[in-house]
Amino acid sequence: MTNKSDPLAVLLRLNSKLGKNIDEELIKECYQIQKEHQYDKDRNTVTKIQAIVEERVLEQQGTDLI
Amino acid sequence: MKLQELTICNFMPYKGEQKIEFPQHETQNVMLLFGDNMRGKTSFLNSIRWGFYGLAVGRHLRKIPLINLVNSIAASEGDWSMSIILRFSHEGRKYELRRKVDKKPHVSIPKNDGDFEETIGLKIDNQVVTGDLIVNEINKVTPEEISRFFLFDGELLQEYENLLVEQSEQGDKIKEHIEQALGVPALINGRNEFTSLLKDARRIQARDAKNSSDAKMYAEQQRVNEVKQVTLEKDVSDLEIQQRDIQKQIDDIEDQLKNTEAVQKKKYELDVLKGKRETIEVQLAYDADEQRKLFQSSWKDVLFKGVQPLVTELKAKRDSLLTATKAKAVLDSKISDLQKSLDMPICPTCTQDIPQNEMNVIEHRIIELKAEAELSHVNLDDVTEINAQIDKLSKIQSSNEGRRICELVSKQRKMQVNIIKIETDLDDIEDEIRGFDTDQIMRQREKKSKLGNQLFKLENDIKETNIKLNKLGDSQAHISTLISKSTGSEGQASTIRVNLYQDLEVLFKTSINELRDGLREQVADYASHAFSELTTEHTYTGLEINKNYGLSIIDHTGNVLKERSAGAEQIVALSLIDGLNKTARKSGPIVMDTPLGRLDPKHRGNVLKYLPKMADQVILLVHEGEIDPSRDLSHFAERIGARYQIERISSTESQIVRSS
Amino acid sequence: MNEPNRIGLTPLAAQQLDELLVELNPEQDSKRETVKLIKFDLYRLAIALGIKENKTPPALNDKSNAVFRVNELDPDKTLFTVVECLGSCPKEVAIYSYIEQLAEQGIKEFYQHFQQRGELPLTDYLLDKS
Repeated sequence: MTNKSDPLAVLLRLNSKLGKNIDEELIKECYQIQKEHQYDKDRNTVTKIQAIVEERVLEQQGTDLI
Repeated sequence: MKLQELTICNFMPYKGEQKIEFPQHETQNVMLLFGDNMRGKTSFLNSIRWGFYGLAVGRHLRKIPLINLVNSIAASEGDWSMSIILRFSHEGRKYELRRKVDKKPHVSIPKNDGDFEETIGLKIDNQVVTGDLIVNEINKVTPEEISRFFLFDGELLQEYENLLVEQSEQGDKIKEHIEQALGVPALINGRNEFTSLLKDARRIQARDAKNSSDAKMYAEQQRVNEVKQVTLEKDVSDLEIQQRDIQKQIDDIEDQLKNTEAVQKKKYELDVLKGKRETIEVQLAYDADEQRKLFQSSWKDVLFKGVQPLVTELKAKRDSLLTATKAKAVLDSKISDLQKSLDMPICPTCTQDIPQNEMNVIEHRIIELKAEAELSHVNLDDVTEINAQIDKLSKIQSSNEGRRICELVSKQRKMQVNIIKIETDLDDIEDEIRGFDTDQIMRQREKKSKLGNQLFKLENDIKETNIKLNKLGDSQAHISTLISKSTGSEGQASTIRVNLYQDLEVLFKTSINELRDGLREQVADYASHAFSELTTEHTYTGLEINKNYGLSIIDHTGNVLKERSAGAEQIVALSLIDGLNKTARKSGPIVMDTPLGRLDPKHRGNVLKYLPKMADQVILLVHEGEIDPSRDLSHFAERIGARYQIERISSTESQIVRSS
Repeated sequence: MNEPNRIGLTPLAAQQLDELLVELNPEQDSKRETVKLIKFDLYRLAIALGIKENKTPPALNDKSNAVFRVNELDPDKTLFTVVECLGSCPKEVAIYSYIEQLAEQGIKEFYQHFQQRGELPLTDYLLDKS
């Protein structure tokens, strides 16, 4: 797959292009969860995603307070 | 993924257990399956599809119910069990997949899917896989969404060709399928989940904001919007259900109408013939009148012919009488002259007395002449009478009625023969179309038209509702930003959370389109390459792809080729299939109806040469006589690894046998 | 010889004439104006054919219904003239009686031919055999 057709590469590229500046690690983790379970019939990826995002929220809140 | 073995038992026309072994060789990777009837070949395809995904599809990609999947002869014998066993390999591991149905024990004769029980078993390298993980394992190897790119029956091939026609209905469906598979579900799922998580985050934010006075108002607005969103989403969902239902009704009517197209033609022929017959009948009636009119005066014509001989005779008689009269006049004059000589016997020339012997001669002569004159006596009254008769008879005129009547009779016979012929044809046609209700056909047509209008309206409604939803979505985002910016919110967890989800949602959403574009480009590249190997026209520079995965041929001037032959359509469709396959999958088999239908020999050769390169295993479903490997192409013959034949035993039973 | 004022057909021939007219005329169709044959038409034709073919008609074997006035049947005395000129009529028979005999014979022949062939063989009657 070329750079253009690899989903993760596209995500990361657009991250900077759109000026979002989301943590790259977060993007990778979210994508990984989705990729692993993308054809699963009963997915519970929502809870997993929610968990890692919450982590980040708390981290960032902590940083902001500092 | 490589198919190794397929065991079919009581599936559709395949009664009992039937085994197929797929070629494993690297270059001899083509399997030919010969079969006459479409049902046999499509059923074969469905057996693989059902084996993997528990799904068999018929026309318009509609699911076939279980009751129609069990072989009907076996079922009539009380055997309602049906199973498919697939053995395949993937990334060095051996898989054995068993899918089986049987009627539930308490059911005597199953009527619907609920009366069946289905079991599924999977072993990987001989290790049993637990029930709940089976489907996921299968999807890791060969995802269902991608199955559309390697299981092709004739109908699907045709749909791919239709895809190339811009803005076709089927084109949209295919495009949807392609995007589903190529859109990479990971990103789509990601976006969907982020949307849902974002809603939750906003709700939390709104709840927090109720405590801050200026944000309270926004929070309230957000809640109101969310209620509206839920309502609109339900509306869209309901509308889509209606849309699917109407589309199904339209599809069903189309199927019915296809069958009756032929009948419509016949009905039209029928009407034309009836019209012809009527015209002839009218002409016959008119001519019959003519004939009778002539008949009424035909006696004169007959009479005329009858008297002609008599008239001729009378005229001859009259003429002879007149001749006789003239002759008598001459005789009388001669007698008179001679008598004068007797009375005055002096020769007028020499004034001498005429001698006695000469006088005797004269007397004798007078007697002779008098006798002759007697004979020529004509009664002039006779002549007058004859003339009168001739006059009377000549008054009889003929207008050739006899001949004219005979012409009409001859014409009448020809027309009657024509009518008989027409009536024979009419009977034939009426026999043919008996049982088809042509009024019903008209009604169905009208119904389809009405449904089409309904569908159009529904689609518009769906579009409009989606627009409203999008607007609401934007509004929610905007309000969210306002809340985030309001005093005291910035450092709060709820704000951070909302912002994070917002960003992630946008990122994934935008990436989907980017990815699709990138993948489409890749499809175009692969397709172009395939095309260059398939086409015989080497001035073409390649293929160009549009948003609907429609491909256009670019000629040597760099322009799009407007007119394409049916053969070209097939080649382009094949190129697209190849492009999609190579983009979507790393490896795997292709099972397809042979795409040789409308190709000339040169293109056929190219296609047969290329097909083995399209996948690791190529399984072709062939019409009898469509491919003759010994004749068609020598390269192709070398690539054949297995040959099977579908033998049709009856309309409900077929057998797949290996042939040499 | 006294010429009769009226001639006709024997009851049998009269019935046959009626049947023939029914066959030759179109069915009752009130939709259009059609041409219909009348008794005179067949009667005259029978006479004309008898004359043309030099037939010797027998005397009537039954009483004539004498329904036709001769001055309506033969207003120009055409038939009379022809028979008279041809001279085939015996001296003791009136010309119109002879004509009546021709008609009787002709109608019976028409009937017989119709029964045999299902139609009148017009081509045979009307075309010149010469």
